[in-house]
Amino acid sequence: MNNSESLKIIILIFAVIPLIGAVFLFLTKILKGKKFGYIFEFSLLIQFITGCFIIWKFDGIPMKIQLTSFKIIAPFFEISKIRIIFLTLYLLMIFFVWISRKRKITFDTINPTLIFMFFLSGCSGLVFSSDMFTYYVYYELMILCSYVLITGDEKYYAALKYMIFNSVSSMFFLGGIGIHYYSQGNLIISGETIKDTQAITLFLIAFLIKGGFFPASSWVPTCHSGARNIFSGCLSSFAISTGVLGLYRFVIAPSEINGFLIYPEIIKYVSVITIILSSLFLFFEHNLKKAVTHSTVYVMGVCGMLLGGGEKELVFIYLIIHCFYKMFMFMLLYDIDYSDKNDNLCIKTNKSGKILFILAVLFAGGFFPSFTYFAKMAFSQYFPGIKIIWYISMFFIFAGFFKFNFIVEKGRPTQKKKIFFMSTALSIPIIGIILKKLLLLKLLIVKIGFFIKLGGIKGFLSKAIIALLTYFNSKLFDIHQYFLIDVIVLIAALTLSKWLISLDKRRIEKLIANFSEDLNLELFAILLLSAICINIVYFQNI
Amino acid sequence: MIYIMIFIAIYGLITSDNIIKKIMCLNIIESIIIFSFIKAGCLTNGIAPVFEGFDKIYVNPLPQALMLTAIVVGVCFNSIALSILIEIYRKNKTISVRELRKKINEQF
Repeated sequence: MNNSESLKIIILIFAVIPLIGAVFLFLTKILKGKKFGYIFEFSLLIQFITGCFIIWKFDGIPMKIQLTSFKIIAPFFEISKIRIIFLTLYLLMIFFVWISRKRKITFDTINPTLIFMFFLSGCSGLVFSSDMFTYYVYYELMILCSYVLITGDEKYYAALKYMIFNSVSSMFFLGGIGIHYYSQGNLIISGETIKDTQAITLFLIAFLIKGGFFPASSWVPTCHSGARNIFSGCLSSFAISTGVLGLYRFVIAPSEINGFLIYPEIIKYVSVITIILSSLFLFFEHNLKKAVTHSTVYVMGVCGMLLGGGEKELVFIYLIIHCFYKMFMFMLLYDIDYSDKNDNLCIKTNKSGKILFILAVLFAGGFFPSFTYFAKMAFSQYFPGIKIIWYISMFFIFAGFFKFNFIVEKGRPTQKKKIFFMSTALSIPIIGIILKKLLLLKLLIVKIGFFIKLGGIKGFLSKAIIALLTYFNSKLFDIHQYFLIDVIVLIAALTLSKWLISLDKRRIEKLIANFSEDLNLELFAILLLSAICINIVYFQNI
Repeated sequence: MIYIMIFIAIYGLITSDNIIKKIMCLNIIESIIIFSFIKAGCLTNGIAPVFEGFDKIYVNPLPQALMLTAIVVGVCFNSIALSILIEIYRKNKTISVRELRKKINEQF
């Protein structure tokens, strides 16, 4: 068996691994075994190793896999660079679930664990599936399990809202599949095959809802904050990112190939509104968990902006980094005491918890040297006036989190392990950015060879430092310029947040609550968005 | 007929306050999509896609097979939605969205 054949088989069984684990768990349930946690951890481990093996074996050449033995419906899988980045995101999620399992903060009974394994199967199937119907089925598996898992803590309204919005988006998706099938005669997801503008418009609306973009963004805080913290992390880091993946595969890739320039423009405008509104809602949010989920919507807005600007790889790398700090933020919430409706906005935590939370907030808002900071430099050219919008939203995010009063309690135990993991997680993106943006790998290798040739290790080190300093110096103006404004925004947020929140807050909050939580109003807004999208596409005559 | 049904379903989805009506409207939309999918694969003189010889005209079996899966997904959705609804009624004694929101806001 050669390299590509072994890779094909592993890709095919990848999504089945959690299902096999679920079968063993079910047997444990029948036999009334109590050590079900080991099976759960073992299947997570197996899938993690399999995923790492796929990344290791992938040599950069896209590969297509079709199960031809199924003559009528042939499931179609594909591996490419973007899929590998998305696979990394999935593996990261598994890794954090495993950590939470070790800390005993994940599902403690057998039934939710069983459903969670089905959820994982749906997630992993989405990574490689490349025909529309398999994608639809895996998506439905993922969200059906999410409905049940959100109700775990008796948050039935959150589950209901999640259900209505996702089923509306699934209707649009299914309609798009139907139109595509009857115009093209196939179900393959690729830029070359998706050509029908009606189908693309329906896909656009479906994935804007699934990705939590405006006007369908208010379900995200309600639903994601309803679940248990670790599952909220899974929803905020992976499940919502599938909306961005869908936008790329079903809308952006076909638009680029067929020259439909209107779709990236629509995504850009919707993303700008999402960025502004999510930061504003975050500022007026009193529930800390909901505030964290508002920042997820903000990230989706940034991703939409990057996607509309054509920065495909940057989007998915950004999502990986978002997964890091979002999972940590949700894990930190286990150690923080906060009230759902607390007028004093008090957060009780220990010293390490406070430091880590502030770090995570800085990364969420896009302070130097976070990835968002570099992303904003990349997308400032795509949209007029984006810099002003960016800084206003950044101000509201910082002010929204720093309006909470941190009360440090000395009696709480400090967690050195968590500090180690957090600092590692925060440093990895920085190293990645330095490698990607500052030292292009090939150039580095050539330079290493050149310097060693010149004067050994001593000479190499001194010259490498000089080269790095020269490079930083050339880039310093940009970094310096943005960094200064960032510092000003942060100071303004710290000083003005408490004053702003005291200004007639009840009235503003009531207004925002009415606007953001009225189910019928939101459904009407979605209908309006679809009508606008369809009209724009038809008036453009594409 | 399809357009009228879609209009009724969307109107119901947006205006109704009752959760059961909302779920029913979603079901209507789903049924319309499934019906249109199957109808588009149908031929006037076509027979069911069971092989009876090369001279016969068969309807396209792919939409039927796909929509069967979509129906199964729809049934799963309905069962979960209604079970959540039962729990909502047990806990809050209402299935009105507005009253539910009021009760949830009062709880916190």
